[in-house]
Parts: sequence; structure tokens; C-alpha cells
Amino acid sequence: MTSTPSDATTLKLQQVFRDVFADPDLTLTDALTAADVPGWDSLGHIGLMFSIEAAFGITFTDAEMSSLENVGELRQVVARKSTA
Amino acid sequence: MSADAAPRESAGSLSDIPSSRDLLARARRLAAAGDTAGAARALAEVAVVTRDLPAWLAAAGEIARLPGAEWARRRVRLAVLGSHTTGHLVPALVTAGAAEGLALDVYEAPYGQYQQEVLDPSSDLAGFRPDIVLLAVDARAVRFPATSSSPAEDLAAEVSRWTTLWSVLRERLGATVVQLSFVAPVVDAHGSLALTLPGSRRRQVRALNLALGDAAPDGVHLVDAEAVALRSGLGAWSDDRYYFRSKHAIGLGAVTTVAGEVAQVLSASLGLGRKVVVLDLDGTVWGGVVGEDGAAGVTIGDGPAGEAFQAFQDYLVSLQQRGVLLVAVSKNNPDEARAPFEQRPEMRLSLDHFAAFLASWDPKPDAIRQVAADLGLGLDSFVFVDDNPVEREAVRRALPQVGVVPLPVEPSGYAAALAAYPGMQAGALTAEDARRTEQYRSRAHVARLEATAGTREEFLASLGMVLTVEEVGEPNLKRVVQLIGKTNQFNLTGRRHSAAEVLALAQQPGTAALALRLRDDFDDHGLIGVVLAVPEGDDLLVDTWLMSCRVLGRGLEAATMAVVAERARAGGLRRVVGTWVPTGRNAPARGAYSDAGFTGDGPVPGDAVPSAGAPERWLLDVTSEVPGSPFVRTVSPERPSAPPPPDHHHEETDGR
Repeated sequence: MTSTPSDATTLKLQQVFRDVFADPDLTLTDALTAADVPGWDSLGHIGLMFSIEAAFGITFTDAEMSSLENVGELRQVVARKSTA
Repeated sequence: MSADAAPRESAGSLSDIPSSRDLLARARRLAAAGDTAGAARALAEVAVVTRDLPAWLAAAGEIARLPGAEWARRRVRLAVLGSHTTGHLVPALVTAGAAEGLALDVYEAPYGQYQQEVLDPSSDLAGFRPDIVLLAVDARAVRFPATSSSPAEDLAAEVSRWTTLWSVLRERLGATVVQLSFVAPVVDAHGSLALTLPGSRRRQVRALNLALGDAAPDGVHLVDAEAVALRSGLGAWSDDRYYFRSKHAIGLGAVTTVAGEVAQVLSASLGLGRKVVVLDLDGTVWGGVVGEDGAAGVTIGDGPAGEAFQAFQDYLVSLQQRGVLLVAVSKNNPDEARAPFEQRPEMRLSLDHFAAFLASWDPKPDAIRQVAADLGLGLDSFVFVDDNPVEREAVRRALPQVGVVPLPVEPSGYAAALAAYPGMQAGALTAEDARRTEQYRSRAHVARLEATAGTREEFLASLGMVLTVEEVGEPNLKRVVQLIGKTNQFNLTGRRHSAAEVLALAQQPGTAALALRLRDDFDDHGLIGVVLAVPEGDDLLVDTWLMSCRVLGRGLEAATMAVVAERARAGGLRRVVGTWVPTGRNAPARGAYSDAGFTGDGPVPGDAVPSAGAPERWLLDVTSEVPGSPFVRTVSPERPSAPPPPDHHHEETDGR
């Protein structure tokens, strides 16, 4: 089990995941990938990216949208962008 | 985030407005306890309290799980035909539909195949037997050049294209048609000059909307997408990043607003729109309390608040003129309630505008029930407008069928909040409007429209498709491997070769390794298909065959396999042998070999996904010539060694 920091960004990100994938009990870990979450397919990924952008007031680059393979990477990018 | 979300968000802070998370939790709780109607009401409320897309999608998921459709006023079979990705629009429509009291059974046509679906009498659309067909086609699919040299003819041809599709839908399928109007592209080379310049694309798109409005017969309803784009903010409507990534032509920030507007038009077209607006008076149509401040003391007319109340009254008057009944239900003494109407010249509403005027100290739900009985109208055609959250909650609890508008705190937001409330769209023109429109139309000189494609065959012929066959090799390898990696729907064998494997296969003697490009008179689709076929005895075995979902439904199967057959024949082989290996996601490709003239040879053992069924083998005799498709011209590059033009690398979401 990968440990995941429970800072404000992560908790907010977790709430976005819960809303997008309609799972009130979803828990984020850095190792979580699309394969682990029902609904996180190509279409679900687009909805997720949009919802994260809206929630954090950030804009992903095209490369970021394609390359975010797991929650750990996603969390780092969101944290970097939302404090910049 | 968006302009029309603002009043809703401020309304959300009022004590009687639950959050979407609360509503979803309540719905799940009620559904688990067997209260389907209560769960449906909570889910419908999600669309009223927020424009947040994830909340709407979650609500759609819950709605889909509700048993039966008794909770709805009407069950409707809705087909969604788009030129772009509609995978988020469809569930948003389900939620917006529930807010209108509609249980929607939705058929989502394959990506981009709206014309084929309409024109093909044996399409899945026809089999679905829709009550209503939504045409969600964006301006990119409108056939106007950047600058038209013959604007009138181009316009007439495009109008004719749409009216032909409408006729087919109405006459062949008996469906009502709802079409999104077109939003002119944000960027036009002519800038503001486009407004002045005849033939500019922006001007043509606007002219098309108006011309379609003129041409729309009974049973065809337009949704004003331009107004939706303005309301949701053009940045939300048009986010090209998402268009290039996933072909979302309607920005995800605008999807719920579009869905809400479409659902309003649906319910209006079914005659389910709201017919009665019940109005509180104090704090709702004027500021202050007439019983305390007196008629002379209430706020109307002068100052910002007074002007805002006046503007709201103007909107109510226009609703009344449109045929909506206004009813006053006020906790006041009758004389005092009437006094501002009689004494204040700034009032825009007069007592004559009201179908009923109830001023008493009775509970408001009782008064509303009484009015409904007097007018002989169902409570579900009522909306209740009151600035007092306590009164709103009382009505919500006592009369769950009545729509309760979550008014914002500031009167400047009242009109927008009421206008956006489910059911507030006009369904049709009034008799008077219709007569006036008829006069305008008959006066207008209607240009003779060109006859355009009325059948699928005519449509395909009109495209002028050219299929270019390249050998797979270094210049196109990157796109070939990308397509192999992500094509799910039209992927006959589901094999995912790496770049090295593809090159190795391509270099084997006798292998047909083909990369196919498609262009037509309207678009260059780039590299859209890959075939890898290897010789074995007298056979050429199809190892890999896939096509981009962007070009399905155009008869390319036959054109592609004719090329493969020709290769086999040239190599002295006698048959092409294809397999369809079910992967669980490639059911749409199952008919491909049959479409290409192959004969079924039955199931064969293989490595299919167990639950998806057995692989099938298909045979094509190539000892005589294989005809291909009459609609596709096949060419080979003149200099195969020359590097191909740079390709557009779309991040596809597999057609959804």
C-alpha cells in the first residue's frame, strides 16, 4: 500500500475523483491508475481532466493530459500548477 | 464559472437550497428504501441547483438505475446524432430530461455518422424507432468555405441539406426533430469585417441559422445554441484543446447548459412546459412589504433595486403575452396587495395581467391547490416564485409536483433564474405569432432550393471520397502504430503490434502492409486505416485490420478489402481469409467482412475474450476481380518514396 500525503490538495483532488466517478468512498493513493477505477476510460479521463481544471482553476498542457498515468503524477502536477 | 451559473451559486447559499452532493445522497437513500418518485425528484433537483458536470453525470447514473419510468411524466425515445463526441452530452441530457419530468431512453449514433444514420433505412437509428431525434452538429460540419464566392447558392444548398434530413426523419421515422443551431467560429480571418463581407464564413453561418428558422416546419424545433454559448460564456462553449484532444465540439463547461436548453425544448415540444407562474408580491415583484411600507413606500422604478424589479416585471409581462398564466399568491390583506398596482405608475404589471389574484393569510400550498382546481390545470404545470426560502420549502414539501424556483438574493438575477428553470421554454408560436410568421414567410422571396442527397447512396456519392493506399514504412510508422494502439471499435482482430513488430511484418515477402489515407471534397481525414495481411499457402491472412472511428459508415470496408484482394491476386494467391476476434469492444466491426463481400465460414477456436463469444472466419475468393465501393476512388501515391504530408494527430476517444 502506497502512502499518500493527506494535504489539502490531495483531499480536494480526492473529492473531484469521488464526484467524477460517482463513488463517495473512493480513496486516492499515488499508485492508483485508470485500470483501478470503474469509469476511468478515455471518455472518463477527459471528464476528469476538465473537472480538475475547473476545481483548481488550472489549465493542463496537451502533453500533461496525455502523460498523467497515475494519481501520484497527477497530484504533483496539480500541486505545482495550483501554487504557481 | 459561467454567467448563468452565478445566480444559482448565490442561491445555493440560501438555507433551503441543498447541495448536489446532498441531493445525490438523498436520492440513493430514497431509492434504496423503494421511494422511486422521491429519488427521481431529488435527482431532478440536481439540475436545478448546479451546472456542475460531474454532479449531472452522477445523477444520470442514478436515474439510469431507477426501476421503471412511473416517476416520469413521459417516457421518450431520444436519438442523439452528432458530428462530434456526444459521450458527455448524452448523460447530461438524461439529467436535464428528468428535471423536465422526462424519462429518456437514449440512442447515441456512432460518432460522426449523422447523415448515414438518417438516410440509411436499415440503420440502427431506424431500428431504434425514436420519438425525437436531436441533431447535434457543430459549425465545423457546415459546408461553407472560408469565403464563399457564391454565398446565396452555398446557403441554399446547405439549407436544402438540412431540410432533406428533416423530411426523411419526419416522414420515414415519424420522429420530431430537434436541432442545435450553429455557433459561428470564434476565429474568422476577416475579424469584425466578417459582419459586413458577404460570403464570410461567420456571416454565412449566422444566415444559415436564420434560414433554418424560416424553413422549420411543424415538428422541427431549433435550439438556439448561440444563445446558450453566450450564456455559458464563449470560453466554456468553445475550448479547442478539448476539440483537438477528444472531438468535444461543445466545451465541457457548457454541456450542462446545452443539455438544459435541449431538454426544455423537448418538454415544450411535447406540450409539457409550465403554464402557470405563481408569484409572491412583497420582495418578489417589488421591494419591501406593502403592509408596512405602504403602496408609496415599496421599491419599484427608481434606483438599482427598483429598476431590477421593473425589469423582472417586464419579463413577466412578456411571459404573459406568450400565453403563460400569472397568478398572484400573497400573504396580505387584499386591498393592500392591490394598492401598488393601482397607485404606482412605475409598475409594469397590472392587475389585468393576472389570471387569478389571491391575497389572504392562508398557507400558500392551500392557495395554489385552489388555483389549480379553479383553472383545471395539473400542479406539474405550475412554478412558484417567492423570495422567501421558508415559503419555498413549504410549497416544496406540500406540493412536490410544483416547480420551485431557487431565486437568488438580488432581484437583478430573478428573470434569469426563472427563465432557466425547467419547463419555461415556449413550445410553439402562438396562433398570432404563427400568422405573422406565415405572412413574413410568404412575402419573402424563397429561392428555389437545389435538390440534394436524399439517400445514403447519393450522400456517399456526393462526398467525392479518395482513398490513398501507402505502404507501411518509416514515414508513416508512428501514426500507424498509434492507430493500432488505440483503435477499439473498428479493430477486427484486436492485435496490438509494436512498432518493431509492424516493421518486421511489413518486410516479410508477400505481406500486404497498407496504410490508408482518406480525403473527400470537404475534409482531409489523414491516415485512417491499417491492414496487415500475411501469405500462407494459397491464402492471404488478415492479421490486423482497423479504421479510425471518424470515417466509419462510408463504405470504406469494401474499398479497403478490394485493395487487399488485388494484392493477393497479384501475388498468385486464391483467397483472402479474415478473422473477427471479439474483444468486447469491437462489436461495431462485426459486419465489416460481410460489407466487403466476404462469406462467413463460421466460428473458429482462438484467443477471444471468453464472454464476448467465439472468433469468426470469413473468406473472399480473389480469383475473379473484387468490385470495391462505387463511392470511393482508390489511388496510390505517385512517388511512394516521397515523404507524406504531416498528419493531424488527433487524440481520439474511440468515437465516443
